[in-house]
Amino acid sequence: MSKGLKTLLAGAALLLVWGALAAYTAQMSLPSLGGGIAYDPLFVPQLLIGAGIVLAIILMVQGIRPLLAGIRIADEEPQKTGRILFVIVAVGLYFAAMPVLGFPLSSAVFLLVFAFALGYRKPVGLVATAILGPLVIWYVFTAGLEAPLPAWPSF
Amino acid sequence: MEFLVSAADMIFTLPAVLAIVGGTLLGVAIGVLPGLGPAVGVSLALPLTLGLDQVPAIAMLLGIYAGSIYGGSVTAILINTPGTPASAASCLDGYPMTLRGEAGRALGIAAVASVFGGLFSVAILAMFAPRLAAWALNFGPAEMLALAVFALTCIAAVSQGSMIKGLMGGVIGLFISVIGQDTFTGQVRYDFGIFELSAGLSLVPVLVGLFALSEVFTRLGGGYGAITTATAAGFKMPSFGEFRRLTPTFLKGGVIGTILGILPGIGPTAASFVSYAEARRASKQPETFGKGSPQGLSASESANNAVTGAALVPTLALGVPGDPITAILLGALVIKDIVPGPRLFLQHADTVAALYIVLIVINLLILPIAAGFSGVWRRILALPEALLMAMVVVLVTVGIYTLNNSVLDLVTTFVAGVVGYLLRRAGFPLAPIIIGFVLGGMVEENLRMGMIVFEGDWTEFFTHPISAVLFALSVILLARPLYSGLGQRLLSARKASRG
Repeated sequence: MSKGLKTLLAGAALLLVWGALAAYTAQMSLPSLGGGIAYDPLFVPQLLIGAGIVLAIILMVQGIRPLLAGIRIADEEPQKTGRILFVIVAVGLYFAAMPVLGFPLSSAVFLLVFAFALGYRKPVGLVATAILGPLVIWYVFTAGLEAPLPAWPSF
Repeated sequence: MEFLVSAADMIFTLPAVLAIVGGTLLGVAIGVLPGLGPAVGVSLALPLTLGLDQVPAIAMLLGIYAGSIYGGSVTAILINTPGTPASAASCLDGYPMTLRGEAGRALGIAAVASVFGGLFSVAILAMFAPRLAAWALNFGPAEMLALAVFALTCIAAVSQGSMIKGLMGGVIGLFISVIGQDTFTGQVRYDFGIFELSAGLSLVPVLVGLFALSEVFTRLGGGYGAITTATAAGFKMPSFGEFRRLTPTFLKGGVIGTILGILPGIGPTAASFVSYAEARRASKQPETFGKGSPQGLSASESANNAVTGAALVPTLALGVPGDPITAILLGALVIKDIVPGPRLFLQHADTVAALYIVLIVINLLILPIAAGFSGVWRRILALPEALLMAMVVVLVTVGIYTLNNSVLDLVTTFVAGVVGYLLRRAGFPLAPIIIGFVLGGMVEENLRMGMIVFEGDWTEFFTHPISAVLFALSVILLARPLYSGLGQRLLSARKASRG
């Protein structure tokens, strides 16, 4: 994807977000205390939404101009779509599982699967990190810093 | 004098000493690892500091900040890959020195230059921050609003990528800050029916998501990094003669780094390149630059470490952070009931004095750490990226969850990580988002307070001398693309007419 197209898509996506926020704000009815706009709780948010919409439109124009001129600047650091999707989903699942499965178990599974899937193949290092890493962190936080972590599955 | 004794009492405790040493050591190690810069390091460590007292908590974060800036130079020198962008200029002469078999000497010069630059900036911080704060005590809503707008404009203007993207980042950050209860009316805004959002979003989950998690996504999405191999390197202190020859360069780098560090948004990367260019310009042997010149290495390393203390001047004196790292430090100070700004020096003089001493100790510690651990960096560099990033995710998770035992904080971090990743991919700088978020309360409060004080007459914001100057500077910065484009057109028209 060229930089111009990326900027155009980013501008369009942000325009949608700011537009949705503008629509949401329009249907909000928050009583102001009277005495001018300074007392209106939506005064500053409305200013920001307005600025966001203007900037999103400028971004779209900035993105369209090189496309219309036929200028194509390639992406400097191409990303692997499958790999990034795996990383994001794996992290999301780990975040969701940790409070339910407990920290040691969920972290051990995550470390094992995540590092293996991303190419780390040394069995001893993998197992040692997956078991010792979470246990050490769990001990440091619960015993050392007195910050409780979910220990075991909560079901 | 009393507050100095009190400051010493705060520092010379076991937790504070451990935090200073541990933080600096951790910081250097984080700096050594390419990709994990000071922003990621400080944001990862922030949750760890919540259980600590004021001084140990801030000392740990300052240690990571200053340590990682030096640590970045280790990889720049050994493998021609800057551990942090701030050390990019150090590759130019540090790596050629390694190729010449002088890696130990280069590491020694970089460490001494870093210590020199860091100490110089602490002296400036101690001298100027209280004066700046005393001056800012007279600031009203117009001046405070103008200051926040100027800081945001600076950061957006000098951000990588387009200025519009930087400004958009600032607006996004400002908008995130309005989520939750309005302090003027008590009304809840933009909670989308989620009760937990009525208190607003916390800084730490947003910050850790935007910087640490999005960094993991970006690095792993780009492909698995090969295990880096570095040659074994010792550590050699510069001789007295060499130290004397390089002292003017250390000093000049310290001055350049300090001046540029005080300005919002400039940061250590630009400072080190400006210092390098100046050292080359002033050198009697400019042809040696880029081929392993100790002078070039000293210039970049003294300047980038000088930014660390200098960036704290506006942060402590005005409550205006100049970059994401000082924004995190500002957030950490607020969490610890120390509110940066003009009144800080009146209310917490002993704590501020303790921070100066901590910074001096941290900068001095860099030298023994650099000398004692030079053999360890090679092993750290050999850590496999997949395993390292997996551990970063686990640390992010545990750090965020233990903040409030809140699932919402985990969700916020994850969403901020994904959004941060997408914004990075689209070329948006992330620093303006955080600065906007941190300054959001200040902007809204002073804008609305001003409207009340000035009885709705918004032109009053521009008639106060200080605010008028700051707003004018903001406009000049915002208009920069227009007049720089005009200048280029005039130049090419003149060339065409001559040709």
